[in-house]
Amino acid sequence: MKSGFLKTCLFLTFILSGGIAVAAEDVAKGAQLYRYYCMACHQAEGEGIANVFPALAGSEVVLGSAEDVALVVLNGRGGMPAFKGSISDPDLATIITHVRNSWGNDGAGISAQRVSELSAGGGEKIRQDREQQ
Amino acid sequence: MAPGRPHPMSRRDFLIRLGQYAGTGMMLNAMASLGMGIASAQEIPPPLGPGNGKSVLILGAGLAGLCAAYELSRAGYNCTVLEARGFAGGRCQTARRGTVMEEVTGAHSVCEFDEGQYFNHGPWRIPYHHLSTLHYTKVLNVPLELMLNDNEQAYIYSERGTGALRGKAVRRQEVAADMRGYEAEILAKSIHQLELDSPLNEEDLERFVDYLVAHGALSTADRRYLGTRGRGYDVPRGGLLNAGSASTPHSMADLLDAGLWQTIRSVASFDQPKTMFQPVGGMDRIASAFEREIGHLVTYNAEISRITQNQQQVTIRFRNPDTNETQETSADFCVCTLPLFVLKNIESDFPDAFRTAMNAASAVTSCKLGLQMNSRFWEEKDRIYGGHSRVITELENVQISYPSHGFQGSKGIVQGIYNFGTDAVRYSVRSLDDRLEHALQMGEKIHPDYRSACETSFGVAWHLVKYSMGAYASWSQEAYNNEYRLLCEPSGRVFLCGDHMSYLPGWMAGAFDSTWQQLARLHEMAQNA
Repeated sequence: MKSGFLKTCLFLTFILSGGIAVAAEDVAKGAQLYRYYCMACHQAEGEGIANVFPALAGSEVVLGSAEDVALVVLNGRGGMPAFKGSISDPDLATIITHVRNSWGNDGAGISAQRVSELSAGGGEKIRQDREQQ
Repeated sequence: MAPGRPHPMSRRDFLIRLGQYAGTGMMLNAMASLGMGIASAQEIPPPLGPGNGKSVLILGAGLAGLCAAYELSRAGYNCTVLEARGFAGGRCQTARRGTVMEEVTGAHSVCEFDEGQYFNHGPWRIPYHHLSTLHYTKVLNVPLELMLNDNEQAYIYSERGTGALRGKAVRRQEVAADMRGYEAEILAKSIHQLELDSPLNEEDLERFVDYLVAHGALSTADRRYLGTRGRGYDVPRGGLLNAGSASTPHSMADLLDAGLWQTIRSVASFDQPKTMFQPVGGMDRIASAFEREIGHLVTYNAEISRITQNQQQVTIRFRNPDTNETQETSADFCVCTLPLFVLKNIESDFPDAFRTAMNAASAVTSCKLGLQMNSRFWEEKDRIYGGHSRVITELENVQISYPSHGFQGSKGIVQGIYNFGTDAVRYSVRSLDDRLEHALQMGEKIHPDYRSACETSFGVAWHLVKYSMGAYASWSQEAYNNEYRLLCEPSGRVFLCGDHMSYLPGWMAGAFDSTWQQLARLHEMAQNA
């Protein structure tokens, strides 16, 4: 009886997001990771900075294919840095899922495994010598 | 030289003459056959014949744009440089009292260093093999001094490992002496039991052991590492009866547990020699030297808003960000040095493939913070003159750099933050006050005086700076093989230059090298036009 109640509670703490269940703690972690790695440019509410850093809230790119979003985050694009190797694949998945489900966005999440696959296969990026200039 | 033999022509003279008589293309081919392929560092700018008053619009007065204007105007081209900022140099800046820093997030700071104190918040060190940079410091009479890029008296401190040395500031010379000593001892003692791939005879092995004994400072009698003077004294030697007292090595287990071997390399990396150069008085002396020569060609506060061209000329629209006044100007050619992160957002009629290729470069994020200290405690108490200490916490790896100038002065600027990538984005989220606070927290882990001595700070988050939008560009190998190559080719009459158009992104030499090569191509196109 007790365990059944716990199971129900556990179930309720999951939010179904585009087929990928997101635990409440992942939501909190996603917000935390977003503050760390994304907010400096894309701002607290994903609103970006006009003509400088694109908004993520309501963004067609963000709400398009989750895999395309992952490739941009992994490999960089234009002013966007490449985060492959400096943020773990599970954390990247958490961040992408968070961004696609915040500020009115309602895109499907992405699994850590899929991010790892894209990271390994999606055009191997050899970073510039990361030594300081 | 044997008497009567004709005076040999230097490689440089030969190339200059070939360039003059046979054209730049022939010269570049000759350079390639001399092993000076166009992808390798050049010693001198390409010889540009008479420009015959042809006009060139140069976008950006960073080092690439200044270099282009200097070389082209000397060759007789009619140059105009358009610069969005109110000053020349691009990222080649030096912070002094009154320097203003604005970030696109609205953060605004004014440097409050004492008069005479300065800090290179952009480029700060020049390797001996950056020939193009050293060419300009020489011909433009920018005096250099040594920049100490390695100092074994500085500290390494780490909270990541375990054991007795965790969370302790340890002199790097102690770590180097002890780790290399133990390494040599282990190898020397076991050398005859090892199965070596290379066929070394007994004599070779003995000589190799001699090397290990010298390299690791082992006792010659029993080949043990018992410490060495180079790691420092517990009590320094002095006059009369003060014989000093030798220091005791750390245990190998403690060093391994704390992970302190991380700063040890057999040799400095190519880009980071142990001594480098810096201009006396600040890195912006290089930009100022160009400005002295060709500053009259620069229009400041000219933000590029459109780039178009036809078969004959390139037309640039620009606006004054203060007055919003818009103007247009045209020229025969255009040298565009704008960072690709900026250029890709500017209206233009570049072909789609050319425009799209710009996205293959990604931005490198980086922050710096200089802290003015009211005493040079690192010199007076720690006997550290220049070089870098390292503070490693669970979350980040902080380099603290001591100035290579102003030794024994009353004050100095310590570079308390110089980070990249995720460390930099996370750091730049902080408010300006919090950025200083974080730097103080890191620095006081190894210097008790760090916080109390700090008077004021000034810094930058390059990825948040308008007109830069990144510390520098990064290309993957794949992008270097594809999109980058497309961008190396002129688009019509527009040539891209800058450190982003090189294999030395973030280095001043990348700006000069790419510009030299593009100018040679531009000149060839101008001659054939």
